[in-house]
Amino acid sequence: MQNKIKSAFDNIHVDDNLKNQTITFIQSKTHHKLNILRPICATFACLVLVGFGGYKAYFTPTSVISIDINPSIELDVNRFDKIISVDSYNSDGEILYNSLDIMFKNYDSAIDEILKNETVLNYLSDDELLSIAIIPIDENQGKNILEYVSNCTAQHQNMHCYSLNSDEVNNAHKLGLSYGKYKAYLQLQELGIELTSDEINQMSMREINDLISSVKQNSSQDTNQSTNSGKGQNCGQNNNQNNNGHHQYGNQNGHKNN
Amino acid sequence: MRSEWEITQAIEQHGDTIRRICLIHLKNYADTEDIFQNVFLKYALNSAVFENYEHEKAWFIRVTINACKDLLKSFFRTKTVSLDEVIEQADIKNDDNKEVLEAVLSLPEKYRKVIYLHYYEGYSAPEIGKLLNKNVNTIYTYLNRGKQLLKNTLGGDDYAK
Repeated sequence: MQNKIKSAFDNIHVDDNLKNQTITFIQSKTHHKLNILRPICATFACLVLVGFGGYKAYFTPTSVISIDINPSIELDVNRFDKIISVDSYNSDGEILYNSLDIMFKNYDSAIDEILKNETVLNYLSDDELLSIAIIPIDENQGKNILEYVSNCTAQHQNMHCYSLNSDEVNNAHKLGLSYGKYKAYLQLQELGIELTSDEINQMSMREINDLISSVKQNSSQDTNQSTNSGKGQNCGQNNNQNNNGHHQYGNQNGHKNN
Repeated sequence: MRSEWEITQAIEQHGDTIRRICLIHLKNYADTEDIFQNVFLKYALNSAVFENYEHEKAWFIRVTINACKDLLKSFFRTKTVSLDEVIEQADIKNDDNKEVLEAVLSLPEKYRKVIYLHYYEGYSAPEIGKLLNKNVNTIYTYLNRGKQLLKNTLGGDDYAK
């Protein structure tokens, strides 16, 4: 039986025509599949690139605004003038940060909100100094922010704004200081006052300013240059006036009383 | 996805087997063409690694039987033709072979494929049970009944062996 069945089925063969048709069919199906996949993959890759590029563009800061009273906070501004990050550099800064709702708002609205914030107004009414440093990465945007902040602070005696070069203050964050406080730290160092970054961080801008003023007054008998960051408005590029007095923080007036 | 060379090799090696399985399941050539092409498309897109020739052949047999069963259940299957036409399409010259083929193809479908797998492909009952996912005793029963039916149709003692 086996032989007869074998012999009968041995006559059944697939013809060459069907073999060729099958190869053509598979080619058309697999190439078609690739042809569909190719634009889908390309579109997906483009979307990923655009998405990633957009994300990177949106979340890359193009300017930084450092706001210091005793609370120290920094606002990162993106190319679309939006606040993309807020960092606090001391416990008072943390309290101020928690009372603000400025993320993803335009920098002008954010500045307005900060200047109208109850905590900030309380500090100002206690005769504290508010220092606003603009660190431009995009120069045009930096100018615009400085112009806006200057207008805002023009009416207030205890507010002080200026622009800082980012290269000048690039070590600030390593020491745990905001850019504004770091600039003051550098000024104190140049005057020979040795303070740790922690001590600077706990001092208010009024205390730092008074300290700098008194050191300069004591050490500059041969010059009439007064400090450029005294009470009252003082906006524009930062003056880098140095005196050479060598004083220790402990011997000066105006240090923080705890 | 497999290369064109692999697909051509597989068609050469297993094409006849698939054609025969299609013949014992389907009653027209158009459906055979569809199944034949779809089985090899499935092979082309499948990335499974086969241990040897027998393993690959068993995969082809199982996939072809399942494809035929699916097609027979499908509403869209092409109209069936008579058994004579099927034999005609198979282009068999020898009358004895024609008679045997006709007898096998006249068997009920469940006996037909078991008879083919056992007598032509040389699979044992347990192997057929594995391939068709059926109990081995069921396969023995199908084989005995199929043999008996063939004997009745074709006559002669040698069919009972």
